Amino acid sequence: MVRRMTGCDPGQAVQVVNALAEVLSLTPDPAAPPTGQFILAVVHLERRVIVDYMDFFLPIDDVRTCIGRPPQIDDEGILSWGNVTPDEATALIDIDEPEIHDATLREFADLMARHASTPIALSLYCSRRLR
Amino acid sequence: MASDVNLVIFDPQMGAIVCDAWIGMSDTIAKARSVLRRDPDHAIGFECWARLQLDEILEISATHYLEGAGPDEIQELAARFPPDGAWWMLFHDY
Repeated sequence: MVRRMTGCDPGQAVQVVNALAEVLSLTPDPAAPPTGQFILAVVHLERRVIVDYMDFFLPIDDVRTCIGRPPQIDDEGILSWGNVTPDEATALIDIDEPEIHDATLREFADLMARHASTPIALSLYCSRRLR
Repeated sequence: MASDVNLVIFDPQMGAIVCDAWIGMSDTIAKARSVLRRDPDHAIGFECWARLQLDEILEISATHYLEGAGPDEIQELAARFPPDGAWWMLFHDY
């Protein structure tokens, strides 16, 4: 696949794969706080369908602190808050990486503008299932 | 290209997504199209089918991938989040 994607010869392909393996085998810092992929889903309340979403990789404890209220569900399958307010979503974005904070804030403002005239619910969740 | 297919369940009383169960990938979406035989209810950036029926998702989940949710797990989810109260959706990200 690497040869097909890069057009390199077999020897170069092996080097690329080895380099990738080295990067991917880096072990995570055990002292780092647990991080999860959080999805902010936009559910259209009349059509009963997800119409938009944003995702974030954030420390789980920081998200709990910033939302500041207990999640609706917190079990082995999912950590989830319902009816997230725009202020809560903005607080969530504020704990995101500073380098992308402003761009993420604009992305959220665009998302809210896209659905300004539709009945929506914002739901924030982190799936704990394997995929 | 990644092509993840998930069962997503929304509880309208809580206003919350209460389940996001990965089922599979390209074979699963092919099966879903043959079972659902209708356009997705949302198709910009990703695909999402609303008002999923239990028999539909059971048939689709028969093509689950390793570690993906299969029919047995779908039955367990149906007992916990009955489709007549919760909103069951099929989510396809690509």
